[in-house]
Amino acid sequence: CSPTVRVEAPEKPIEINMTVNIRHEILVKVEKDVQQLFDENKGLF
Amino acid sequence: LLLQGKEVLAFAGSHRLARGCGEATLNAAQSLPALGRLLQPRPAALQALDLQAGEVDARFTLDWCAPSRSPPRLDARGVLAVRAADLGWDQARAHAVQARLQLDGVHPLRGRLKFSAQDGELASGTPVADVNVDLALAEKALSVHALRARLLGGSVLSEPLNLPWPPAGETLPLQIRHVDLGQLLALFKVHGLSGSGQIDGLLPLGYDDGGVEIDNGQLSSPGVGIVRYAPTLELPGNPGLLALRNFHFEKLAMRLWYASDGAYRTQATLNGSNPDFYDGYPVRLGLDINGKLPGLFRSAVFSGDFSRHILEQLQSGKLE
Amino acid sequence: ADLSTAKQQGWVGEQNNGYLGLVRSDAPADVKALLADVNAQRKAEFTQIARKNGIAEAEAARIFAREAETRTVPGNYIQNPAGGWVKK
Repeated sequence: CSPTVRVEAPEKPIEINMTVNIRHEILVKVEKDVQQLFDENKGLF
Repeated sequence: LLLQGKEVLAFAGSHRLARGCGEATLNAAQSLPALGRLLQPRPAALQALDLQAGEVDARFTLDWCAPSRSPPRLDARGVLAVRAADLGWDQARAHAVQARLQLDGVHPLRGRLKFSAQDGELASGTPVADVNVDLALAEKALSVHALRARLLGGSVLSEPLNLPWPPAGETLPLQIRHVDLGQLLALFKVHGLSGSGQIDGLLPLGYDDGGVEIDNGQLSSPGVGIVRYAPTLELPGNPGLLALRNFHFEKLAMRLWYASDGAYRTQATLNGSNPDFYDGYPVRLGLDINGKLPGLFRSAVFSGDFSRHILEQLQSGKLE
Repeated sequence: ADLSTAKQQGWVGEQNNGYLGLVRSDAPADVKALLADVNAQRKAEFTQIARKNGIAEAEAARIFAREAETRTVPGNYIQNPAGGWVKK
């Protein structure tokens, strides 16, 4: 859903809620390294 | 034991075949750089060890019994002392180290570790200073006599306390005092992320199947401050990101969890405004950041390009 | 013995920790030897990946385990979260 933005009575602040899921580079790199262990000639799987 | 012809360690003992038991003493005194040079090629486990300066001496007595029917038992007691040392482990560094490891027994592991360092760097390159650790492990209890260090412009410390060992859910309350928000944010090496202000808080540290955990950590800013997330790469008009480009907060409160497998969850609430967002109209910004950074405490390495991930999530509409 | 036959015959399976495990203890000696050899090579690979990326070897092994589970051919053995052997 897109973030909820409600402009209410002056004394009320604008309310914004945001959720960010970070997929760290470190995991992406590890997974790339792990993928290579599955190729045939290594005979590991 | 001679390493490259130089006596490094003296070991003398006796073993009575009839009872299948014996004891021995082990003594060593060495300059660390010399030991470092002698330990070539470095055994795999010590590959990352770098011994720059200092002295070490060790005096241990070992006793063992290997009766035919039951499994062999080895026990050891003694002291290892390190003085005025400069040590390195991978990219982590410690200077002017004084350390004393007193081993009272192996079954169960008992002893006391005192470690102090004038300054150094974590593996992430983060400077650390006035490190002082004094821990005693008795049969079923861990006593924290001292645990403190200065970093990120402030300090982390624990009051002396006792914990059952191994812990069954109990946590060690690590206090965070006067940490500089700017330095803390810079730690993440995120392009376009900066800030100013001060952070205090409490991080309950737990320990579970081989990993350090944070169980409902609480951080907050006693005063006003700024958070800026303004990457040069143009991010489409998401209200949260627009507000964050130059957010002046009066109040900042954050809760965080970190599990031993590396999964972290943070829930932050910032009350303030951004002069360029709705003409500085007051904003209450709720920000949840979740991710996974295995081995965070071990490697103290932060990496990852947050902006690219945020952009990806924006484009895929997953950014709620 | 080769690994895929040993798996099809149900002697060995993929454990949750990234290593091969004996499903049946009465497996032939050459299968047991193959298992030990493959696990040793896996350990070396995991250690190298872990060191390069600043994570623990067990974490690299667990990432392998997740991938191994998805790639396991139906009918071969994998471990359920509780550690029991199940056919995929």
